Amino acid sequence: MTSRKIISFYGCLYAIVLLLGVHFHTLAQTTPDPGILGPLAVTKVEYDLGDAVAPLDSLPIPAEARASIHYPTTLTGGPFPVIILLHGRHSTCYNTTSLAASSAWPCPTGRLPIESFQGYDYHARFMASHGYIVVSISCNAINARDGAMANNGMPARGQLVQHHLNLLNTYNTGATSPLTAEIGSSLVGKFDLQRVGMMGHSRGGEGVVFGALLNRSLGSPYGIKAIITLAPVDFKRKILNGIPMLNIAPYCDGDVSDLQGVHFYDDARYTDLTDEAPKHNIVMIGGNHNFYNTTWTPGSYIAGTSDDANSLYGSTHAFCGSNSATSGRIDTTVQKAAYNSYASAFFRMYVGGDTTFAPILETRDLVPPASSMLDTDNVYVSYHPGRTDRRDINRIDTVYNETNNTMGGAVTSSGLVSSGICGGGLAIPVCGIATNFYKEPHKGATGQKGLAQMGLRWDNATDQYQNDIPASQQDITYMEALQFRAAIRYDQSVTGLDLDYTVQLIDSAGAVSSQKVHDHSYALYYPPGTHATYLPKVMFNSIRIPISSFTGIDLKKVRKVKFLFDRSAAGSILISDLSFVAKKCGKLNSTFAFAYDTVGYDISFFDTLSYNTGDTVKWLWRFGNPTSGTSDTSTAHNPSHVFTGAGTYTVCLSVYAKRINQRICTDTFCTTITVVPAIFVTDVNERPNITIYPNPARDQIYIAGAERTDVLRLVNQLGQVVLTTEINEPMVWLPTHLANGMYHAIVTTSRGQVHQRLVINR
Amino acid sequence: MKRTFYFILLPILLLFLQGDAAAQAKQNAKISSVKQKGNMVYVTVTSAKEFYMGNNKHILYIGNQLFDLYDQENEEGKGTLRFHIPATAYKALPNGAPVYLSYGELYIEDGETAGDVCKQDLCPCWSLGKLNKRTQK
Repeated sequence: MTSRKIISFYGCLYAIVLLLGVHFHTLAQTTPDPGILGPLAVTKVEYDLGDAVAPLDSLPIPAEARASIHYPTTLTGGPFPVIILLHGRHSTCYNTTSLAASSAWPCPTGRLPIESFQGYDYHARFMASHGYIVVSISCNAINARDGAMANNGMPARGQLVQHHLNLLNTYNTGATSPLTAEIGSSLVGKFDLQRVGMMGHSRGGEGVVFGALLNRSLGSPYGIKAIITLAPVDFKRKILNGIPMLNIAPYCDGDVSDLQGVHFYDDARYTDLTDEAPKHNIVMIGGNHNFYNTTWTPGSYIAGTSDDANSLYGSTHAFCGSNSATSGRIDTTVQKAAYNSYASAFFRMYVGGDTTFAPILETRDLVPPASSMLDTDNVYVSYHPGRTDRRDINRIDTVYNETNNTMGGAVTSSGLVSSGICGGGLAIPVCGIATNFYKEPHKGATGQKGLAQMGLRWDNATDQYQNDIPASQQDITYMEALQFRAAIRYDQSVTGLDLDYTVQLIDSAGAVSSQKVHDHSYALYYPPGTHATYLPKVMFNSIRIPISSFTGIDLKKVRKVKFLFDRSAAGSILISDLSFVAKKCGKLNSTFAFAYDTVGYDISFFDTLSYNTGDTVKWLWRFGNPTSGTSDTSTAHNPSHVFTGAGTYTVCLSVYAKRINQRICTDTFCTTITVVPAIFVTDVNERPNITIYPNPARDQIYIAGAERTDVLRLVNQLGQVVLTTEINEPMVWLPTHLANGMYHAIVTTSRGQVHQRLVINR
Repeated sequence: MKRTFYFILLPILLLFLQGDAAAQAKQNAKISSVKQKGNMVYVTVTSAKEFYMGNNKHILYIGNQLFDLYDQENEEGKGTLRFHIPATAYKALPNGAPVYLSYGELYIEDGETAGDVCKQDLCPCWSLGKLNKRTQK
């Protein structure tokens, strides 16, 4: 078949596809728009302490200390959450006569600094109108020197961010600060430096990751709550866990053209299995590198601007050139609006605590905000929930996952042309889709992990891929969605044709519920553009199918997750991160234990719920004993309460846990307890003089002051007696089966009873 | 942008765009000096056109070695990249080795050289001739 015939054939095929209406349809937008300007008037000030005043350990020259600040004009209320912006590498100066850009620092005579840090004023103004203080930092000194630095100036960028946070912190306390002369004193006390978000563009993206890691290494003096890496480099492959992050990848990036920032997402997914921080990635189709910054955008600044996509691809390139009739580019206005909308949603969620916009970031609402000016085929989102918000079915992270999933169930397939795991530095280190990483941004490199991917190629409607769910995991009633990431493997698929297939859940009785991927996601799109080196690009995106759409099966006994490739005649996809996503808060299962103390009606209560690292937890205990007055409630974690008399009481514990993803989880647990006079009501002064040590204990404890026939009892937090022994000698071995944790050691003697809390820590 | 538009036109476009190469700006760069100072050799590449000051790296390929530490100076439209090469590494380079400059790392497959990739003219890469240790000092 000649190429012309092939094209004619595909042309007809597309026409048929369109006529059949298999094409995307526009969904209704349901989420409030995060890109609507806020109600607050905004004021901008700048501080400029000099071009060479900030000593940074890893930079051979002092850096400039210059930044802009946008803030709500009235400053009513506050302190306000803070957003830090850090631009990327760009020319540093321009000739005031010829307007030629140059790269020295400080700028020689006749040159003025290029103010890259002002290029995000549009976003800073916007965020300030919603009650944020936005600080955008100049980074020219590092840009002038980092070419000759093996670390690419990344530690210096992190130090520069920390330097400015320190400056702001000193100023904020009202102490003597050089900033006062620059910006006055009206902002003193208005910076909430425990609620900080950071965005870094390009090399600034990797820079803010270094900044967050530096801040953590210093004991987290500032509360970094969220990180955006915008078209970033990731030269050093640092992994940032524990802080929600969003990476934005512009498809037509002509500078960081391999979109290597996806590594920030990919590399961090399973390196820390306790990580509660969500990760997001947005592919912005048609975006270039420079248009996010007005100082770098032609027509918006006096010198040093360029359209990087046109520079790389040529302005007439069919897709990424801006002067092509078939251009897929988004213009500078759209690109800034799009960034502003999604960054607003992200910062307001993770820094401001407003979860209104979560559906946009979590692929629950696929329609871009109207303010972004994007169509559904301009933007694709990936979302990796934190640990407790997902249950991994198959991480597809090891070769083992070809045949056994993360839950321990079998993985099988039938009829497929080919299947197998590639990439991720595993046995098959690369997937061989393209000859380079420009077309495979998720690809790892030598010694670097990248993304492991399960390739699934089919040519028959009965071809299938299946993950079994072990019996202990089959109750998915607390799950909100089935989710995975996927991309079309374009080199094994029909050019230009989007794909579809069926996802099935099968219960233990064999009942089947099916959903078409295409009804829930746009992610299986054929990636646009052709170029021998750079296009198309395989970019993974999340596909999320609500559990509620799987009807007619027993959701308490879901035995299999099956992909049935019956929607497209043939095709090839790559998948990763197959998981169930928990409902908004999962299940807290609040519960507590209690132990009778030895004096009167004093009872100790112990919250036995485990929380996640980073949770903000509040407790409210109600003891059901109103005659005890104000003591009838407590907000302590593990309180004691002296009941006013014997009787039956209903005790309730209400727990409020605000998670790192801003979800607020609450639960209340009540139980009835019977309070009786203690068996040994002993006056404190008459208690035997017994000491138990060491505490914490490992293998044994010593009981000083005990006598033979005295009895030691160990009671766990559930009130269960786990050890009873006569104390025949001062040293008592602790049984090896006792788990680490807190116990009550109770020594009963003829002289009275002694109670001490004892921690076992082996 | 409408996907529909792209879909309809794609077959037609394919007729014209097969093998379309990116338009790469001509850099006309050359090695203008090689100087040793202490244990470091500085290879200076100059161009009548400024080198792009962006976020990716310029990389100097000499033979099968690559070097990516450099000072960059763009002044009045002219560009200078001064690469830092350890003297021991420079000494080990074969005289006459082909030299290429790229913006961003080249993906060189087994059996390929930087020149093979560069000659395809598919990415920002420029030939700087051959290393001449006798005159380039």
